[in-house]
Amino acid sequence: MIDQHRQAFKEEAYELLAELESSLLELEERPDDQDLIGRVFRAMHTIKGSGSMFGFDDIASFTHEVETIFDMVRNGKLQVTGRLVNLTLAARDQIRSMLDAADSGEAADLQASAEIIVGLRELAGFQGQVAAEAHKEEVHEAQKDPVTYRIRFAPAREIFVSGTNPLTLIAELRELGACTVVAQTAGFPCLEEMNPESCYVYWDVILTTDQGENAIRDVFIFVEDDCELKIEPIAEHNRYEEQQDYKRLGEILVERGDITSDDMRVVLSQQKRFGELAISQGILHEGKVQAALAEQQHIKEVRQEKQVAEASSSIRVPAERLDLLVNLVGEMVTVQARLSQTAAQRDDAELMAIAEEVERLTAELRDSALNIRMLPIGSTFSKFKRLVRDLSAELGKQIEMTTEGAETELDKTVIEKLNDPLVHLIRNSIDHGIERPEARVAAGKPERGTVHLSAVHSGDSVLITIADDGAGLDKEAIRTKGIERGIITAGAELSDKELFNLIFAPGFSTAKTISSVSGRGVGMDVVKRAIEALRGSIDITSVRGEGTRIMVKIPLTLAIIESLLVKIGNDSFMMPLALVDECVELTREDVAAAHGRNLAHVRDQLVPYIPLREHFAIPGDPPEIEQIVITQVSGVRVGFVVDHVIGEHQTVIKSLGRAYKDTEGISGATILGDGTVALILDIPQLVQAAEAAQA
Amino acid sequence: MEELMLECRQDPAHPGTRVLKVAGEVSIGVAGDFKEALIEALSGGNEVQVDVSALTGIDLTGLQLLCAAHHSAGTAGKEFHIVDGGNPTFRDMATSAGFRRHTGCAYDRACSCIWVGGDN
Repeated sequence: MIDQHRQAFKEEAYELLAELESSLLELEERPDDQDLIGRVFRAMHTIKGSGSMFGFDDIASFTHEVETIFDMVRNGKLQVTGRLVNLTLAARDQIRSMLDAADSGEAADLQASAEIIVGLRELAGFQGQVAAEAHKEEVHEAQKDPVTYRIRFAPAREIFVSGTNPLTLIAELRELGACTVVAQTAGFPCLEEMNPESCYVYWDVILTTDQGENAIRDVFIFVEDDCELKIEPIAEHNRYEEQQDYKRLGEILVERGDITSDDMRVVLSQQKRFGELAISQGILHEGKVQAALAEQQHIKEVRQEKQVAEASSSIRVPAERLDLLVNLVGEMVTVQARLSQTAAQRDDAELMAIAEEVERLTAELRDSALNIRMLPIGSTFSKFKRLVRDLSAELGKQIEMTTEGAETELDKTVIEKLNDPLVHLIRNSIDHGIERPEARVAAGKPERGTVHLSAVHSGDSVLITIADDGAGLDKEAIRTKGIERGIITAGAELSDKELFNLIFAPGFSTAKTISSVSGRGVGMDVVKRAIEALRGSIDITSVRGEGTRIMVKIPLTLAIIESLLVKIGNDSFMMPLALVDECVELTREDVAAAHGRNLAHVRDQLVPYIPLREHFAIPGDPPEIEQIVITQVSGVRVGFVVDHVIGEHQTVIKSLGRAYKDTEGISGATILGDGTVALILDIPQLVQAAEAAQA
Repeated sequence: MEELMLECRQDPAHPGTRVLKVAGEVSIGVAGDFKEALIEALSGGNEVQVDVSALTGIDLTGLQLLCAAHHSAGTAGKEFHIVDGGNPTFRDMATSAGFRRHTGCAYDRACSCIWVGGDN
């Protein structure tokens, strides 16, 4: 059980660290943004709190130091500087490695922790006094009249699981001002029924503070969704004179814990004599009893709302379970296809109706199952921000990264696999693309270079663009290198596109020197292969002196694709529909007219084609009229000759297993409605192989 | 974090009284063990004393269990006391968590609330 909690804490901590990183990077740009400072502080605070709760004492004590510094920043005693951000980023990395170390059981680097803490302390001591003077006046202005609030804090049962210790929140409330805390234990079950890891208690707190209601809400900011929180002002002390006898009875009884608010409700509703007696003896005015009753009613209503709030909260599920679900949905889609086919064959109206209903439900189920795995790409983007920051510092360049479309959603597995290729592309932009500040100024460009990262939905794909305003690709250098490597011949006439595509050739690197950032020869070919493994495509445009733009197109999901079902002899094949442009007929005469060259005339354009029957050595004769499925890969149109085109198909992708791992031209398989297996064609690879065979 | 030590024994002076000695720290990780120990102690006698004088820390889960144990004892007609020997850690924890109070809760028919007053 404890492991499960530790795991939950770690997951939460990794998320917080990611958030922390992006907040820090933003803070560097806008050092006066109080909102950001608050976010950094709260992230540190939560890591510390949950860390100590789950026995990550080293992390808790380390984070405490950083939190202290940011508390000073928050209170205006310390200013945000580049050095502070650097140290805090280093601290963030340190916390991360401590978390990693906790897993492997290795000791974290204590020396590094100590250095960061010393650095931070120095910074605090050095800068502390400077801001103190200026701060004094502000504090004076901010001083407000104290207000007394009644706070009811009812954590959700499972609040411990999320790593939150409600007591630290209560302790924070105490820091805000004079505070009376009453734990309400009335709802406790008996011992046998109590789940020791659930939270049953809730609190009524009376707090007098001059910090305002927002300061109170800030305390609960990370548990807002996990608790029932009610804050109401009950007395403002500048007007205290007028309200002196207002609500005194209930307030004090509850405050002292002499009576719980529930007890009071029972007393007030059942023993009417109490109220009546009090009124008749002139101790209480009727209105006051009414006010108390109304208050009880209010609390009751809020409690009922709690049920609703709990139902709409989110849950954390291991990714494997989702994968299993998606797999099952995949099987389901396959079975549904068989059902539809059988129903159509039987010509049974009742069975058809059922099959149609199942088809509709399966489609919905498939869409929502796939939807669960969708994540915004923004988390990956913010990781890159850090990469750009660190690398540009290392290379002595000034680079700003801008992003767009961070909310664009992609399948989780796709996002994970996309990380490395994108890192590589961004590194390339920084290392080869953007020039040094001197060179930029000399070229009449702003000193600071820009790398723009954007993501946008287009159909069933996501288009990711990495654009820089650097030097652009050097066509001559590429040509020279291409000839040197024997990829092209000396006199070859190449379009820009073809020339740029050369950089995806294996072992191609134009960098004259090998830097630590890029240029080790493992380059763009690896990127291209990784993108193609995701059934995506990559495209480059570049203008010398103005910059380079790399476009990566990636399908939304890896589990199910729309494809075109085709037949050659008795074998079925699938072609990803996203790559298919059109289908045209190919007659025996056409073949004869081409004189053995595999070229087809399509609207006055020559399209090369690959006869798949030949390619896969499938025995038998092709029909009189064959079909050419014309595909488009990286802007090049290539046809594939098949016997018949059957139609569109929802394809659940199954991998071929390890034995067939290196099979070229096939990217997977699927099971058809009648139970037979259809192979999914790896179109980009087939095109590549054909090109290689020609050259 | 000191490990939780639980020891339940018969009070030699008072037959039927079980004394559960709790030392170390009660935290969410060991709350399950603590619950079992409390149940066992309650099933073994008509009166249970929980000795927390050697406690070095207790979190919310521990406080909740003590409260629930008292509730269960009351329902079963048994007596349940806490002896803290003036342990400041325990008292601070109970106070800061808002458990300490002047009168017992609604279940408390016999004025035996474990949080009322000081040592008993």
